Amino acid sequence: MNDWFESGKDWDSTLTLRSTINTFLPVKKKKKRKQIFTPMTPVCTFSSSAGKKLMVEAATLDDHLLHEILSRLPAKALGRFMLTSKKWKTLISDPYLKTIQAQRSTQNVLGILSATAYSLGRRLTYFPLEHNAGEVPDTSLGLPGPQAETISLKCACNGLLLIQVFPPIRDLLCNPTTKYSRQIPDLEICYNDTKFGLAFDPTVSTANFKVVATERVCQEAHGGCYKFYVYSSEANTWRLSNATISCTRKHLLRSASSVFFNGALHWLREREDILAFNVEQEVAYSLALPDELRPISIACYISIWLGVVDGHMSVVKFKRGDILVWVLEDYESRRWELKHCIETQGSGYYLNSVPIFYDGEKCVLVTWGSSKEEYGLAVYRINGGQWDEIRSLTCSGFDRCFVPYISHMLG
Amino acid sequence: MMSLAAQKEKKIVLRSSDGEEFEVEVATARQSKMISNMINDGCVEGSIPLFNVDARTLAKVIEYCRRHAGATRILDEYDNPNEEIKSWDATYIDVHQTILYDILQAADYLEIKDLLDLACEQVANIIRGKHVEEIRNTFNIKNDFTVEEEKEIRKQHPWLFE
Repeated sequence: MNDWFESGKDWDSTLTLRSTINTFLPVKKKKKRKQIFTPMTPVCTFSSSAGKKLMVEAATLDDHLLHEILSRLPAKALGRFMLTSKKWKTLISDPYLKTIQAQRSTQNVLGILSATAYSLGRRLTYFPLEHNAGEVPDTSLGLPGPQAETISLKCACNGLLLIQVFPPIRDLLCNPTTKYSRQIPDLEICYNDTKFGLAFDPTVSTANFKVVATERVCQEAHGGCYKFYVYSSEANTWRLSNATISCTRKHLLRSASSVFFNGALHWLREREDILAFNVEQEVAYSLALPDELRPISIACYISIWLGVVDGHMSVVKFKRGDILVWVLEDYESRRWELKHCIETQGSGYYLNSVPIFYDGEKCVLVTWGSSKEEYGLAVYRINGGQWDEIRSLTCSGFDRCFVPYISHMLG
Repeated sequence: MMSLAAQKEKKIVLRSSDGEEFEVEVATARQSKMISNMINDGCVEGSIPLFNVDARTLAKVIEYCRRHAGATRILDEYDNPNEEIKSWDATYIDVHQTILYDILQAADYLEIKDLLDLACEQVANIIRGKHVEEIRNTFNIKNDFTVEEEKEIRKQHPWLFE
Protein backbone atom coordinates (compact mmCIF):
# COMPACT_ATOMS: atom_id res chain seq x y z
CA MET A 1 0.00 0.00 0.00
CA ASN A 2 2.81 2.38 0.69
CA ASP A 3 5.13 1.57 -2.15
CA TRP A 4 5.44 5.25 -2.97
CA PHE A 5 6.93 5.56 0.43
CA GLU A 6 10.58 4.84 -0.16
CA SER A 7 11.46 1.96 2.02
CA GLY A 8 15.12 1.41 1.21
CA LYS A 9 16.95 1.47 4.49
CA ASP A 10 20.43 0.34 5.10
CA TRP A 11 20.60 -0.11 8.83
CA ASP A 12 24.24 -1.05 9.02
CA SER A 13 25.48 1.94 7.14
CA THR A 14 23.60 4.25 9.44
CA LEU A 15 25.43 3.07 12.49
CA THR A 16 27.72 5.92 13.34
CA LEU A 17 30.69 5.12 15.47
CA ARG A 18 30.80 6.82 18.78
CA SER A 19 33.89 5.40 20.26
CA THR A 20 34.20 7.90 22.99
CA ILE A 21 30.92 8.04 24.76
CA ASN A 22 29.82 5.65 27.39
CA THR A 23 26.30 6.75 28.01
CA PHE A 24 24.95 6.57 24.56
CA LEU A 25 23.43 9.41 22.74
CA PRO A 26 20.85 8.69 20.12
CA VAL A 27 22.52 7.56 16.95
CA LYS A 28 21.17 9.60 14.10
CA LYS A 29 19.69 7.48 11.43
CA LYS A 30 19.67 8.56 7.88
CA LYS A 31 16.27 10.01 7.37
CA LYS A 32 14.79 8.72 4.25
CA ARG A 33 13.69 11.29 1.79
CA LYS A 34 9.97 11.32 1.48
CA GLN A 35 8.02 12.33 -1.49
CA ILE A 36 5.61 14.99 -0.52
CA PHE A 37 3.61 15.34 -3.65
CA THR A 38 2.81 12.03 -5.12
CA PRO A 39 2.39 12.01 -8.87
CA MET A 40 -0.41 9.51 -8.62
CA THR A 41 -3.42 9.32 -6.45
CA PRO A 42 -2.47 6.90 -3.73
CA VAL A 43 -4.35 3.65 -3.89
CA CYS A 44 -5.21 3.90 -0.25
CA THR A 45 -4.24 6.01 2.70
CA PHE A 46 -2.62 4.98 5.93
CA SER A 47 -5.74 5.59 7.86
CA SER A 48 -8.77 3.53 7.64
CA SER A 49 -12.36 4.11 8.41
CA ALA A 50 -13.26 3.55 12.01
CA GLY A 51 -14.90 0.24 11.29
CA LYS A 52 -11.78 -1.40 9.93
CA LYS A 53 -10.13 -4.03 12.01
CA LEU A 54 -7.26 -3.16 14.26
CA MET A 55 -5.07 -5.95 12.93
CA VAL A 56 -5.06 -4.43 9.49
CA GLU A 57 -3.79 -1.18 10.97
CA ALA A 58 -0.92 -2.73 12.82
CA ALA A 59 -0.09 -5.06 9.97
CA THR A 60 0.66 -2.14 7.69
CA LEU A 61 3.47 -0.80 9.85
CA ASP A 62 6.57 -0.24 7.85
CA ASP A 63 9.73 -2.11 8.90
CA HIS A 64 11.45 1.02 10.14
CA LEU A 65 8.49 1.75 12.42
CA LEU A 66 8.61 -1.81 13.73
CA HIS A 67 12.30 -1.18 14.44
CA GLU A 68 11.39 1.97 16.36
CA ILE A 69 8.84 0.09 18.44
CA LEU A 70 10.81 -3.09 19.04
CA SER A 71 13.92 -1.21 20.15
CA ARG A 72 11.89 0.09 23.11
CA LEU A 73 11.15 -3.34 24.51
CA PRO A 74 13.09 -4.96 27.32
CA ALA A 75 15.56 -7.55 26.00
CA LYS A 76 13.57 -10.53 27.15
CA ALA A 77 10.31 -9.50 25.53
CA LEU A 78 12.17 -8.58 22.38
CA GLY A 79 13.94 -11.94 22.26
CA ARG A 80 10.71 -13.86 22.81
CA PHE A 81 9.13 -12.15 19.82
CA MET A 82 11.67 -13.85 17.55
CA LEU A 83 9.17 -16.70 17.57
CA THR A 84 6.53 -14.53 15.91
CA SER A 85 7.66 -15.19 12.36
CA LYS A 86 10.75 -15.54 10.20
CA LYS A 87 10.57 -11.90 9.26
CA TRP A 88 10.44 -10.80 12.90
CA LYS A 89 13.30 -13.13 13.75
CA THR A 90 15.41 -11.46 11.06
CA LEU A 91 14.39 -7.99 12.27
CA ILE A 92 15.20 -8.81 15.88
CA SER A 93 18.50 -10.55 15.09
CA ASP A 94 19.78 -7.38 13.44
CA PRO A 95 22.79 -6.08 15.40
CA TYR A 96 21.67 -2.52 14.73
CA LEU A 97 18.35 -3.12 16.45
CA LYS A 98 20.14 -4.76 19.37
CA THR A 99 22.44 -1.78 19.69
CA ILE A 100 19.59 0.73 19.66
CA GLN A 101 17.71 -1.38 22.19
CA ALA A 102 20.82 -1.36 24.41
CA GLN A 103 21.08 2.42 24.07
CA ARG A 104 17.50 2.90 25.12
CA SER A 105 17.91 0.55 28.08
CA THR A 106 20.94 2.52 29.21
CA GLN A 107 18.90 5.69 29.22
CA ASN A 108 16.07 4.09 31.12
CA VAL A 109 17.46 2.16 34.06
CA LEU A 110 14.72 0.14 35.72
CA GLY A 111 16.68 -1.44 38.52
CA ILE A 112 19.91 -1.78 40.41
CA LEU A 113 22.01 -4.93 40.62
CA SER A 114 24.04 -5.48 43.67
CA ALA A 115 26.55 -7.93 45.05
CA THR A 116 29.08 -7.81 47.78
CA ALA A 117 32.34 -6.21 46.81
CA TYR A 118 34.11 -9.10 48.50
CA SER A 119 33.25 -12.76 48.35
CA LEU A 120 30.15 -13.41 50.41
CA GLY A 121 26.90 -13.88 48.53
CA ARG A 122 25.88 -16.55 46.06
CA ARG A 123 23.96 -14.44 43.67
CA LEU A 124 23.30 -10.90 42.66
CA THR A 125 20.41 -9.01 44.16
CA TYR A 126 18.02 -6.99 42.04
CA PHE A 127 16.30 -3.86 43.30
CA PRO A 128 13.55 -2.57 41.00
CA LEU A 129 13.37 1.22 40.85
CA GLU A 130 9.79 1.51 39.66
CA HIS A 131 6.72 0.03 41.29
CA ASN A 132 5.63 -1.23 37.95
CA ALA A 133 8.95 -2.21 36.44
CA GLY A 134 7.74 -5.29 34.61
CA GLU A 135 9.74 -8.47 34.54
CA VAL A 136 12.05 -9.04 37.44
CA PRO A 137 15.22 -10.44 35.97
CA ASP A 138 16.55 -13.78 37.05
CA THR A 139 19.90 -12.94 38.61
CA SER A 140 21.14 -16.45 39.12
CA LEU A 141 23.48 -15.91 36.15
CA GLY A 142 23.30 -19.58 35.13
CA LEU A 143 27.05 -19.89 35.14
CA PRO A 144 28.69 -22.91 33.52
CA GLY A 145 30.91 -25.27 35.46
CA PRO A 146 30.76 -26.12 39.13
CA GLN A 147 28.18 -24.37 41.30
CA ALA A 148 29.64 -21.09 42.47
CA GLU A 149 29.73 -20.69 46.22
CA THR A 150 30.36 -17.01 46.09
CA ILE A 151 29.97 -14.28 43.52
CA SER A 152 31.53 -10.88 43.85
CA LEU A 153 31.11 -7.96 41.51
CA LYS A 154 34.28 -6.32 40.24
CA CYS A 155 32.94 -3.79 37.79
CA ALA A 156 30.29 -3.18 35.17
CA CYS A 157 29.87 -1.25 31.97
CA ASN A 158 26.79 -0.75 29.82
CA GLY A 159 25.01 -3.87 31.00
CA LEU A 160 27.98 -6.24 31.10
CA LEU A 161 29.48 -7.34 34.40
CA LEU A 162 32.89 -8.54 35.45
CA ILE A 163 32.44 -10.94 38.34
CA GLN A 164 34.64 -13.21 40.36
CA VAL A 165 33.27 -16.60 41.36
CA PHE A 166 34.64 -19.17 43.74
CA PRO A 167 35.52 -22.06 43.81
CA PRO A 168 37.59 -22.50 41.79
CA ILE A 169 38.46 -18.83 41.73
CA ARG A 170 37.87 -17.37 38.28
CA ASP A 171 36.87 -14.11 36.63
CA LEU A 172 33.94 -14.06 34.25
CA LEU A 173 32.49 -11.48 31.97
CA CYS A 174 28.74 -11.96 31.85
CA ASN A 175 25.51 -10.52 30.61
CA PRO A 176 22.98 -11.11 33.40
CA THR A 177 20.10 -10.91 30.92
CA THR A 178 21.17 -13.52 28.39
CA LYS A 179 23.28 -15.57 30.86
CA TYR A 180 26.13 -15.28 28.42
CA SER A 181 29.45 -15.66 30.17
CA ARG A 182 33.05 -15.85 29.18
CA GLN A 183 36.03 -16.63 31.32
CA ILE A 184 38.78 -14.03 31.52
CA PRO A 185 42.28 -15.50 31.91
CA ASP A 186 43.97 -14.96 35.26
CA LEU A 187 46.09 -11.90 35.67
CA GLU A 188 49.02 -13.36 37.51
CA ILE A 189 50.28 -10.23 39.18
CA CYS A 190 47.00 -9.59 40.96
CA TYR A 191 47.08 -8.10 44.44
CA ASN A 192 44.41 -7.09 46.85
CA ASP A 193 44.47 -3.49 45.81
CA THR A 194 44.38 -4.21 42.09
CA LYS A 195 41.34 -2.43 40.71
CA PHE A 196 39.45 -3.26 37.56
CA GLY A 197 37.56 -1.38 34.93
CA LEU A 198 35.44 -2.65 32.06
CA ALA A 199 35.22 -0.87 28.72
CA PHE A 200 32.32 -1.90 26.49
CA ASP A 201 30.72 0.37 23.92
CA PRO A 202 28.11 -1.38 21.78
CA THR A 203 28.04 1.49 19.30
CA VAL A 204 31.62 0.55 18.42
CA SER A 205 31.39 -3.20 18.67
CA THR A 206 28.52 -5.35 19.85
CA ALA A 207 30.79 -8.12 21.14
CA ASN A 208 34.29 -6.80 21.87
CA PHE A 209 35.32 -5.32 25.17
CA LYS A 210 38.42 -4.57 27.20
CA VAL A 211 39.24 -5.01 30.84
CA VAL A 212 41.84 -2.82 32.50
CA ALA A 213 43.51 -3.70 35.78
CA THR A 214 45.50 -1.07 37.59
CA GLU A 215 47.72 -1.30 40.60
CA ARG A 216 50.03 0.91 42.54
CA VAL A 217 53.66 -0.10 42.49
CA CYS A 218 55.55 1.25 45.50
CA GLN A 219 58.88 2.91 45.06
CA GLU A 220 60.16 3.94 48.45
CA ALA A 221 61.44 7.45 47.72
CA HIS A 222 58.71 8.76 45.44
CA GLY A 223 55.60 7.03 46.61
CA GLY A 224 55.15 5.01 43.49
CA CYS A 225 53.27 4.80 40.27
CA TYR A 226 50.24 3.11 38.77
CA LYS A 227 50.66 0.45 36.12
CA PHE A 228 47.96 -0.72 33.78
CA TYR A 229 47.25 -4.16 32.37
CA VAL A 230 44.93 -4.40 29.42
CA TYR A 231 42.90 -7.43 28.43
CA SER A 232 41.26 -7.35 25.04
CA SER A 233 38.50 -9.82 24.14
CA GLU A 234 39.86 -10.06 20.63
CA ALA A 235 43.37 -11.08 21.69
CA ASN A 236 42.09 -12.94 24.78
CA THR A 237 45.29 -12.13 26.68
CA TRP A 238 46.54 -9.64 29.24
CA ARG A 239 49.28 -7.22 28.32
CA LEU A 240 51.18 -4.64 30.37
CA SER A 241 50.65 -1.17 28.94
CA ASN A 242 53.58 1.23 28.61
CA ALA A 243 51.50 3.92 30.27
CA THR A 244 52.25 4.80 33.88
CA ILE A 245 51.38 7.68 36.12
CA SER A 246 53.23 8.60 39.25
CA CYS A 247 51.42 8.92 42.52
CA THR A 248 51.88 9.54 46.20
CA ARG A 249 50.38 7.26 48.81
CA LYS A 250 46.88 7.27 47.45
CA HIS A 251 44.50 4.46 46.87
CA LEU A 252 41.65 3.82 44.53
CA LEU A 253 38.08 3.72 45.57
CA ARG A 254 35.75 0.72 45.29
CA SER A 255 36.52 -1.11 42.10
CA ALA A 256 32.93 -1.34 40.87
CA SER A 257 32.79 2.40 40.64
CA SER A 258 34.96 2.53 37.54
CA VAL A 259 33.30 4.69 34.94
CA PHE A 260 33.85 4.37 31.18
CA PHE A 261 33.46 7.69 29.45
CA ASN A 262 35.12 9.54 26.59
CA GLY A 263 37.12 6.41 25.73
CA ALA A 264 38.67 6.30 29.19
CA LEU A 265 38.11 4.41 32.42
CA HIS A 266 37.86 6.53 35.56
CA TRP A 267 38.36 5.65 39.19
CA LEU A 268 37.92 7.95 42.17
CA ARG A 269 41.09 8.26 44.18
CA GLU A 270 40.83 8.52 47.89
CA ARG A 271 41.38 12.05 49.21
CA GLU A 272 42.46 13.29 45.87
CA ASP A 273 41.08 13.18 42.37
CA ILE A 274 40.02 10.94 39.51
CA LEU A 275 42.48 8.58 37.89
CA ALA A 276 41.80 8.05 34.18
CA PHE A 277 43.14 5.68 31.58
CA ASN A 278 42.33 6.04 27.91
CA VAL A 279 41.74 2.50 26.73
CA GLU A 280 42.47 2.94 23.02
CA GLN A 281 45.42 5.29 23.22
CA GLU A 282 46.68 3.82 26.49
CA VAL A 283 47.35 7.14 28.15
CA ALA A 284 47.01 7.69 31.90
CA TYR A 285 46.07 11.04 33.42
CA SER A 286 44.27 12.50 36.37
CA LEU A 287 41.25 14.77 36.63
CA ALA A 288 40.69 17.10 39.56
CA LEU A 289 37.47 16.87 41.50
CA PRO A 290 35.25 19.94 41.99
CA ASP A 291 36.94 22.50 44.26
CA GLU A 292 34.15 22.24 46.82
CA LEU A 293 34.98 18.60 47.35
CA ARG A 294 38.69 19.06 48.01
CA PRO A 295 40.51 18.10 50.02
CA ILE A 296 38.23 15.23 50.75
CA SER A 297 38.30 13.30 53.94
CA ILE A 298 37.91 9.55 53.96
CA ALA A 299 34.37 9.91 55.27
CA CYS A 300 33.62 12.15 52.34
CA TYR A 301 35.23 10.17 49.58
CA ILE A 302 33.01 7.15 50.06
CA SER A 303 29.99 9.39 49.81
CA ILE A 304 30.61 10.58 46.26
CA TRP A 305 29.07 8.98 43.20
CA LEU A 306 30.91 9.28 39.91
CA GLY A 307 28.98 8.58 36.73
CA VAL A 308 27.68 9.80 33.42
CA VAL A 309 24.45 11.78 33.20
CA ASP A 310 23.01 13.10 29.93
CA GLY A 311 26.31 12.53 28.18
CA HIS A 312 28.40 14.38 30.76
CA MET A 313 30.72 13.17 33.44
CA SER A 314 29.05 13.95 36.76
CA VAL A 315 29.78 13.80 40.45
CA VAL A 316 26.92 13.52 42.94
CA LYS A 317 27.05 14.10 46.64
CA PHE A 318 24.31 14.07 49.24
CA LYS A 319 24.82 16.72 51.87
CA ARG A 320 22.40 17.62 54.65
CA GLY A 321 19.38 16.68 52.62
CA ASP A 322 20.56 18.26 49.39
CA ILE A 323 21.55 16.36 46.27
CA LEU A 324 24.51 18.23 44.80
CA VAL A 325 25.38 17.53 41.18
CA TRP A 326 28.59 18.73 39.55
CA VAL A 327 28.95 18.36 35.82
CA LEU A 328 31.92 18.46 33.51
CA GLU A 329 30.19 20.26 30.65
CA ASP A 330 33.29 20.16 28.55
CA TYR A 331 35.48 17.21 29.35
CA GLU A 332 38.58 18.76 27.81
CA SER A 333 38.35 21.95 29.84
CA ARG A 334 38.22 19.92 33.08
CA ARG A 335 36.09 22.62 34.70
CA TRP A 336 33.37 21.37 37.01
CA GLU A 337 30.19 23.30 37.48
CA LEU A 338 27.75 22.87 40.32
CA LYS A 339 24.78 22.20 38.09
CA HIS A 340 22.04 21.26 40.53
CA CYS A 341 21.40 21.62 44.20
CA ILE A 342 18.24 19.67 44.79
CA GLU A 343 16.63 20.23 48.13
CA THR A 344 14.94 17.00 49.13
CA GLN A 345 11.85 17.13 51.23
CA GLY A 346 10.99 15.04 54.26
CA SER A 347 14.40 13.49 54.26
CA GLY A 348 15.09 13.55 57.97
CA TYR A 349 15.57 9.84 58.09
CA TYR A 350 17.94 9.87 55.16
CA LEU A 351 20.35 12.53 56.29
CA ASN A 352 23.35 10.23 56.22
CA SER A 353 22.79 8.82 52.78
CA VAL A 354 25.26 7.99 50.07
CA PRO A 355 24.29 8.21 46.41
CA ILE A 356 24.86 5.08 44.31
CA PHE A 357 23.00 6.06 41.17
CA TYR A 358 21.70 9.25 39.57
CA ASP A 359 20.20 9.85 36.15
CA GLY A 360 18.76 13.33 36.40
CA GLU A 361 15.30 12.06 37.28
CA LYS A 362 15.99 9.95 40.30
CA CYS A 363 18.74 9.50 42.80
CA VAL A 364 19.24 6.18 44.56
CA LEU A 365 20.92 6.27 47.93
CA VAL A 366 22.14 3.84 50.53
CA THR A 367 20.65 4.97 53.82
CA TRP A 368 21.03 4.01 57.39
CA GLY A 369 19.01 4.76 60.45
CA SER A 370 19.92 5.46 64.03
CA SER A 371 21.27 1.98 64.52
CA LYS A 372 24.06 1.16 62.13
CA GLU A 373 22.37 -2.13 61.29
CA GLU A 374 19.40 -0.48 59.63
CA TYR A 375 20.69 -0.17 56.13
CA GLY A 376 18.37 0.39 53.24
CA LEU A 377 18.06 1.66 49.70
CA ALA A 378 15.94 4.72 49.03
CA VAL A 379 15.12 6.45 45.80
CA TYR A 380 14.40 10.16 45.59
CA ARG A 381 12.28 11.16 42.59
CA ILE A 382 13.32 14.63 41.65
CA ASN A 383 10.27 15.74 39.66
CA GLY A 384 7.74 14.45 42.14
CA GLY A 385 9.90 15.41 45.09
CA GLN A 386 9.21 12.25 47.03
CA TRP A 387 11.14 9.48 48.69
CA ASP A 388 10.50 5.78 48.18
CA GLU A 389 12.15 3.14 50.23
CA ILE A 390 13.14 0.19 48.06
CA ARG A 391 14.32 -2.43 50.45
CA SER A 392 16.33 -2.86 53.58
CA LEU A 393 19.77 -4.33 53.16
CA THR A 394 20.91 -7.26 55.22
CA CYS A 395 24.47 -6.04 55.39
CA SER A 396 26.20 -2.74 55.35
CA GLY A 397 25.73 -0.88 52.12
CA PHE A 398 29.40 -0.17 52.01
CA ASP A 399 30.37 -3.80 51.61
CA ARG A 400 28.36 -3.92 48.46
CA CYS A 401 28.68 -2.80 44.88
CA PHE A 402 25.70 -1.33 43.11
CA VAL A 403 25.44 -1.09 39.35
CA PRO A 404 22.53 -0.17 37.10
CA TYR A 405 20.74 -3.13 35.55
CA ILE A 406 20.63 -2.70 31.79
CA SER A 407 18.93 -5.44 29.85
CA HIS A 408 20.23 -6.09 26.35
CA MET A 409 21.15 -9.00 24.13
CA LEU A 410 24.77 -8.09 23.44
CA GLY A 411 28.07 -9.46 24.67
CA MET B 1 12.55 35.39 6.01
CA MET B 2 9.47 36.94 7.47
CA SER B 3 9.49 38.64 10.83
CA LEU B 4 8.36 36.83 13.94
CA ALA B 5 5.23 38.92 14.22
CA ALA B 6 4.30 38.15 10.64
CA GLN B 7 4.91 34.48 11.27
CA LYS B 8 2.59 34.56 14.23
CA GLU B 9 -0.25 35.98 12.23
CA LYS B 10 0.28 33.86 9.19
CA LYS B 11 -1.74 30.72 8.95
CA ILE B 12 -1.18 27.67 6.89
CA VAL B 13 -3.82 25.42 5.44
CA LEU B 14 -3.39 21.67 5.58
CA ARG B 15 -5.64 19.42 3.53
CA SER B 16 -6.26 15.88 4.68
CA SER B 17 -6.40 12.88 2.37
CA ASP B 18 -10.19 13.01 2.53
CA GLY B 19 -10.24 16.64 1.51
CA GLU B 20 -10.88 18.41 4.79
CA GLU B 21 -8.96 21.66 5.32
CA PHE B 22 -7.37 22.74 8.58
CA GLU B 23 -6.04 26.22 9.23
CA VAL B 24 -3.09 26.20 11.62
CA GLU B 25 -0.58 28.67 13.02
CA VAL B 26 2.89 28.60 11.49
CA ALA B 27 4.44 27.64 14.84
CA THR B 28 2.09 24.69 15.06
CA ALA B 29 2.79 23.58 11.51
CA ARG B 30 6.52 23.86 12.09
CA GLN B 31 6.35 21.04 14.61
CA SER B 32 6.39 18.90 11.50
CA LYS B 33 9.85 18.87 10.00
CA MET B 34 8.41 18.06 6.62
CA ILE B 35 6.09 21.06 6.62
CA SER B 36 8.77 23.23 8.19
CA ASN B 37 11.07 22.41 5.28
CA MET B 38 8.29 23.32 2.88
CA ILE B 39 7.77 26.67 4.63
CA ASN B 40 11.50 27.36 4.37
CA ASP B 41 11.42 26.49 0.70
CA GLY B 42 8.50 28.83 0.21
CA CYS B 43 6.12 26.26 -1.16
CA VAL B 44 3.12 26.69 1.10
CA GLU B 45 0.93 28.90 -1.03
CA GLY B 46 -2.60 27.65 -1.05
CA SER B 47 -3.13 24.50 0.96
CA ILE B 48 -0.71 21.67 1.63
CA PRO B 49 -2.16 18.35 0.55
CA LEU B 50 -1.34 15.51 2.92
CA PHE B 51 -2.25 12.41 0.99
CA ASN B 52 -1.33 10.07 3.81
CA VAL B 53 -3.28 11.57 6.68
CA ASP B 54 -7.03 11.53 7.00
CA ALA B 55 -9.05 14.24 8.74
CA ARG B 56 -9.58 12.35 11.99
CA THR B 57 -5.86 11.69 12.37
CA LEU B 58 -4.83 15.14 11.22
CA ALA B 59 -7.09 16.80 13.80
CA LYS B 60 -5.47 14.70 16.49
CA VAL B 61 -1.96 15.44 15.25
CA ILE B 62 -2.68 19.17 15.09
CA GLU B 63 -3.90 19.02 18.68
CA TYR B 64 -0.48 17.67 19.65
CA CYS B 65 1.47 20.18 17.58
CA ARG B 66 -0.53 23.09 18.90
CA ARG B 67 0.13 22.02 22.48
CA HIS B 68 3.83 21.52 21.86
CA ALA B 69 4.23 24.74 19.91
CA GLY B 70 3.07 26.53 23.03
CA ALA B 71 0.29 28.02 20.94
CA THR B 72 -2.03 27.41 23.82
CA ARG B 73 -1.14 29.22 26.97
CA ILE B 74 -1.91 26.50 29.46
CA LEU B 75 1.81 25.91 29.92
CA ASP B 76 2.45 29.13 31.80
CA GLU B 77 -0.11 28.37 34.44
CA TYR B 78 1.93 25.58 35.95
CA ASP B 79 5.03 25.61 38.10
CA ASN B 80 6.55 22.63 36.45
CA PRO B 81 5.89 22.74 32.71
CA ASN B 82 7.96 19.64 32.04
CA GLU B 83 5.88 17.48 34.33
CA GLU B 84 2.75 19.10 33.03
CA ILE B 85 3.50 18.38 29.40
CA LYS B 86 4.45 14.81 30.27
CA SER B 87 1.12 14.20 31.90
CA TRP B 88 -0.65 15.92 29.00
CA ASP B 89 1.21 13.63 26.58
CA ALA B 90 0.22 10.56 28.59
CA THR B 91 -3.46 11.50 28.43
CA TYR B 92 -3.20 12.46 24.78
CA ILE B 93 -1.71 9.15 23.64
CA ASP B 94 -4.03 7.00 25.72
CA VAL B 95 -6.28 6.31 22.74
CA HIS B 96 -7.79 3.32 21.02
CA GLN B 97 -5.22 1.32 19.13
CA THR B 98 -6.66 2.09 15.70
CA ILE B 99 -6.09 5.80 16.31
CA LEU B 100 -2.70 5.08 17.87
CA TYR B 101 -1.39 3.39 14.72
CA ASP B 102 -2.76 6.23 12.60
CA ILE B 103 -0.98 8.79 14.76
CA LEU B 104 2.21 6.75 14.62
CA GLN B 105 2.25 6.64 10.85
CA ALA B 106 1.23 10.25 10.47
CA ALA B 107 3.99 11.35 12.87
CA ASP B 108 6.47 9.37 10.81
CA TYR B 109 5.23 10.80 7.53
CA LEU B 110 5.12 14.37 8.80
CA GLU B 111 8.42 13.95 10.65
CA ILE B 112 7.27 14.97 14.10
CA LYS B 113 9.95 13.27 16.13
CA ASP B 114 8.58 13.78 19.62
CA LEU B 115 5.16 12.51 18.62
CA LEU B 116 6.72 9.52 16.87
CA ASP B 117 8.68 8.73 20.05
CA LEU B 118 5.55 9.09 22.15
CA ALA B 119 3.49 6.81 19.91
CA CYS B 120 6.26 4.18 19.60
CA GLU B 121 6.68 4.17 23.36
CA GLN B 122 2.95 3.63 23.79
CA VAL B 123 2.85 0.73 21.30
CA ALA B 124 5.89 -0.81 23.01
CA ASN B 125 4.15 -0.56 26.37
CA ILE B 126 1.07 -2.25 24.96
CA ILE B 127 2.90 -5.18 23.40
CA ARG B 128 5.69 -5.78 25.93
CA GLY B 129 3.65 -8.14 28.08
CA LYS B 130 1.91 -9.97 25.26
CA HIS B 131 2.39 -13.57 24.25
CA VAL B 132 3.77 -14.39 20.85
CA GLU B 133 0.35 -15.59 19.69
CA GLU B 134 -1.20 -12.23 20.67
CA ILE B 135 1.52 -10.42 18.75
CA ARG B 136 0.69 -12.47 15.67
CA ASN B 137 -2.97 -11.53 16.05
CA THR B 138 -2.26 -7.85 16.60
CA PHE B 139 0.05 -7.57 13.63
CA ASN B 140 -1.80 -10.09 11.49
CA ILE B 141 1.26 -12.29 11.10
CA LYS B 142 1.20 -15.91 10.08
CA ASN B 143 3.49 -18.25 11.97
CA ASP B 144 5.80 -19.55 9.27
CA PHE B 145 8.07 -21.61 11.52
CA THR B 146 7.94 -25.38 11.49
CA VAL B 147 7.77 -27.10 14.86
CA GLU B 148 11.44 -28.05 14.49
CA GLU B 149 12.52 -24.50 13.70
CA GLU B 150 10.65 -23.23 16.71
CA LYS B 151 12.32 -25.86 18.90
CA GLU B 152 15.71 -24.82 17.55
CA ILE B 153 15.14 -21.17 18.49
CA ARG B 154 14.10 -22.16 22.00
CA LYS B 155 17.20 -24.31 22.27
CA GLN B 156 19.49 -21.54 21.06
CA HIS B 157 18.13 -18.98 23.50
CA PRO B 158 17.30 -20.81 26.72
CA TRP B 159 17.29 -17.53 28.69
CA LEU B 160 14.21 -16.35 26.83
CA PHE B 161 11.94 -19.18 27.71
CA GLU B 162 12.67 -20.07 31.32
